[in-house]
Amino acid sequence: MMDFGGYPIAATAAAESWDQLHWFLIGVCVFFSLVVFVPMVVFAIKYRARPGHKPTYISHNNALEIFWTAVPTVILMVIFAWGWIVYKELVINAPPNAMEVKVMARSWGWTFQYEDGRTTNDLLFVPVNKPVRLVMTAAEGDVIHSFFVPNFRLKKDVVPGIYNTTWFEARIPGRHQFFCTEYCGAGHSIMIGAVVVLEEEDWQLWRWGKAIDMPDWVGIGGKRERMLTASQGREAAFQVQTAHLDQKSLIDRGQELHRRQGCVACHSSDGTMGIGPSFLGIFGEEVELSDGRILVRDENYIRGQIENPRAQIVRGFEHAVMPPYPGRLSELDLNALIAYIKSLQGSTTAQRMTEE
Amino acid sequence: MAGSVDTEGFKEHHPAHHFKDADHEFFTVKNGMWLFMLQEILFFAPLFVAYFTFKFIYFEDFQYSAAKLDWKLGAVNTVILIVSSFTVVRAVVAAQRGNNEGLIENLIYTIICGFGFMIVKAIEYSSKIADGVLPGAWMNNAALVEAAPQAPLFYSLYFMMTGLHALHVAVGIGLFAWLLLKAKRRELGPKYYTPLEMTGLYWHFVDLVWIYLFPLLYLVG
Amino acid sequence: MHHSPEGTTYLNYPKGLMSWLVTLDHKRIGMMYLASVLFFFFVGGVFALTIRLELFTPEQNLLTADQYNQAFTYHGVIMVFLVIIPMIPAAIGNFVLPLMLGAKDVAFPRMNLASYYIFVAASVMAVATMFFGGVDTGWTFYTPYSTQTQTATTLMLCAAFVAGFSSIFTGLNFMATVHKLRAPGQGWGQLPLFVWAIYATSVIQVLATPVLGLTLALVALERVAGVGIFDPALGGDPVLFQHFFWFYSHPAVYIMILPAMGVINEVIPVFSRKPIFGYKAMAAAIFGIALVAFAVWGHHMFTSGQTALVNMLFSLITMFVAVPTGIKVFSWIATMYKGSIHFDAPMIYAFAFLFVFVIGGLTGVVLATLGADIHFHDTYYVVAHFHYVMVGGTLFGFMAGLHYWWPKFFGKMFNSFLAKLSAVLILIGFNVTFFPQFILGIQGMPRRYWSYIPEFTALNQLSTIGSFVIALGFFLALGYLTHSFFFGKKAGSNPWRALTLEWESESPPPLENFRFDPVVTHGPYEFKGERV
Repeated sequence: MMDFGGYPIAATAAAESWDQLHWFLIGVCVFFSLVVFVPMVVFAIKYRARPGHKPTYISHNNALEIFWTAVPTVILMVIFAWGWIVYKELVINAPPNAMEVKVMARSWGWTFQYEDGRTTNDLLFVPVNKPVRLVMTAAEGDVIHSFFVPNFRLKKDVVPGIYNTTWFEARIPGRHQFFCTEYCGAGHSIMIGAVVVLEEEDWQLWRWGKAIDMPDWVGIGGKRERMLTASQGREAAFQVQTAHLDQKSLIDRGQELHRRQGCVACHSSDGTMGIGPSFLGIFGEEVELSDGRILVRDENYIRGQIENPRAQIVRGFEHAVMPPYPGRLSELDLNALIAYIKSLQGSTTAQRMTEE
Repeated sequence: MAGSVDTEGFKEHHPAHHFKDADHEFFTVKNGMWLFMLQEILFFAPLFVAYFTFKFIYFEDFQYSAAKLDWKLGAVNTVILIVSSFTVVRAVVAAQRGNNEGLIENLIYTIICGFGFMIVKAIEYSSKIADGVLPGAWMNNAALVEAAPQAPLFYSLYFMMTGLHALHVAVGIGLFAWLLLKAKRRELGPKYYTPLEMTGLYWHFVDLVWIYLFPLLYLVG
Repeated sequence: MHHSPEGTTYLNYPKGLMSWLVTLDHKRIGMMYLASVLFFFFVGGVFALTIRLELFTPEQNLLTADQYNQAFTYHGVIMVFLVIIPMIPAAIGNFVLPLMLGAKDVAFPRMNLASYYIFVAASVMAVATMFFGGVDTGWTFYTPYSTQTQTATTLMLCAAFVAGFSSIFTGLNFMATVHKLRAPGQGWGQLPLFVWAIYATSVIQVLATPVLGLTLALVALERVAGVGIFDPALGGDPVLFQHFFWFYSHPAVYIMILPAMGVINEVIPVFSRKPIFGYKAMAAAIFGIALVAFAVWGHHMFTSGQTALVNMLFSLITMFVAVPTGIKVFSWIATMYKGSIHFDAPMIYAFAFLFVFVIGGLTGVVLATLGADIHFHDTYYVVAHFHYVMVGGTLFGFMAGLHYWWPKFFGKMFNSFLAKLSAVLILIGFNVTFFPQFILGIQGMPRRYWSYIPEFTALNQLSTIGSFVIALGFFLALGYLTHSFFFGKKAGSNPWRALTLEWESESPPPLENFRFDPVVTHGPYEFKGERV
């Protein structure tokens, strides 16, 4: 007896919205298939060539042609708009309080780095019902990968040299399969793993480095028992690797780098203007560049400036000199520095409040 | 000479069997040539798009690197190409009037201009190579990279854009040499000068590409 | 002016192998393309079956990971560049286009022969890569993988670059031919829709292929000289490659499908004994598709990290591809309405085309929907979709055309029953192979996996079984067509009672196509004798 699986579980609210869109699309597909196939079959039978049957000369019909141009156009616009709405919910609208996880892909495996500086490989641990924002990049010199969780209907390419972001809020605890979906060579099909969604108690235990029981798989078809046995052969591919090697948080590490790499010589952390702009309160804020453009200083901006400081220089600092750092900092160090700069935010908000 | 058309003494050309007459052939070939140039534009297009993309991202570095180019040599080459476009037009007019000597003379001028362009280009390239200013991973000029970290990318584009253009110039020189041979055999006259007209169109295109490349690479910096 | 002696055809006059190898006759060049394309279809098909066999079980058993990656790369490169793109325009179109225009040849016969040999050179280079370590980049050559992998990629890039020029020259040639070599009385409104389709295809070939050529050259230069345009380590941008690549490769899918639509445009009126419904809208729709084709490439990159605004625009524009496509499908059905439908093999293939193409087209709308694509991108849903369009569309269109013009090509008829049987076998095999892949895509199976989680086993096995049914159908076709080539019943000059010019000449036509000067006096689909 063949088992074809079933419709995949929707483990997030966004995935449920996605499913509604998908059922609508299936409906549209079935409807238009019938609109074509039923007449096709009926005409084939009714107007088959036979003795005594003569064809009728018809060359066109303007009203009909306008009708079948206009109606699909309207339906297509509905599909487009719905697709956009779902896209916003699925990819863009990350809540501001989302827990952030840095994702680093390399050929062929995944490293997840949490806010407290811990890292895990191939298993992404998250609490249930908490929004999680993923900031993803591939190792330097590596190729493009893509992070895909079918149960979340979620996918984003992971590109070296760029931070791509996406988010999710898992509702169903358990292990959710994820895949690499951008072809990356020999190990592409084993570059897989699981998002481990933990109940709140388990999450607290795991956070403090305590042992927990691994939750069951949440199968693509929702058949947990079968998934569990079927997947046993692959357990080896993603053993739990909760590395406690570096107990320092990302921010601490970033602070150390800020001092050790000499950034502090020009960039203060307390708002004092040096040769370069202070790091205090700059993250996520708009800034005017020397060429008049205005942009937001986000992860990609900071990363780009570290690697090529002259590219997008801030107004007023045209004559400052800073050596470019391409390759001098590892990806993990870059993450740490950015996390540190980001942490220097609270005080500005406080400052702004007092000013107001 | 002006106005008089000498149609005597030229080898007769028979249009290919699937054309009605010589005019039909001429206009079909011309049609094909315009289509060919359309694809040429799109062949150059990705390099221009890449140039604008990276110029936008690495504005300062690209300005800095572009300023290092020798705009005087670029200007000399611009003049050379404009002159050669003029001599090509004169060659076509000479052929239309049956003035074979004038045709040969102007073809020779055009070929000289072509070589002149290539020599100036060679001077320019060799000075860049001597300074270690080479594309991408071959870049060997630490001072430049220190001042403008994305200079290798600029020079990649510079070498590829001017290189692809120079390749077209070289092909043009070959075509004109072939036409010179034809002219000496008196095969190009008022009744049949199709290859000359088409090569002329091609040459104007090559000229035009340079007219865009020169300000973009040499002057904007 | 008509040189060929009475009783000779293009097949036997002039004589000798050399006369074929250096021929300038568009019909011979078309047949040489046909032979090459069919050969590579076989090679690409063997790779396809190998892939399906490996995927019969979730574990790795037949091929290693590297071999599997090479197998799907060769399947893709061969099928796209050496089969589907030249399949209808360069093979069938080369033969039929000048005949439909009442011309003696294409505008530039020498260039036509050159295109063929450029194609051969590209094929040789592509095959040669197999002996230099193979290629494992996929037919999409995505950077930075394609700039890093230690295989014969540079040579393969050159092969695709060279193949591109064959395609450009063919398109340019056909455009000039349509511009300048139409028969007296044949305005643009009297052109058969197959000519319109080939013309629109040629426009895309001339305008899009150079971009691919230069892009592949940049990747090759990246490998050889490290120029860095697509290399993030050197300041370049790997996503820029994707923009350039899809600027060509999305229009390229219309290079593949438009000619097939052109064939169906001919077949349905002839076998319904009725004018094509809405000639003007049909011609406009062809051009509408070709035009929109240039502004939709970004829908291949919805997950690449391009901005939400760009994603939105590309999703919106892509929706407009469906409008002219819908016009075409509805008009085909309307053409059958109150017709007198003859179920000969070309018409069976046209029905198969409609069935499969509609599913392919509608799932294309699903993929164009921004939110939906986030889940489907790079899964088997995409694989199923483009096989429904490329195989179901182009290949069935090609088979319809091959059977329709076969009597004209060789002056012989084929076994009608076996032809219909093979059409039905291929149609069933096709749906058994690819429909399960839609479900696999919904379940989340990524493409280009040589090993997969066990949940996907049953559907993959079904798919593999289907692929062998397709193979069986094609072997049957090979059998009766070979038989027809040698022993087929003689076909008259117009066995299907069609009205376009190619049927006014003998079957097979002589050198220079017509023994008289053809003049167009009626539209291509005015089946007036049957007017009620």
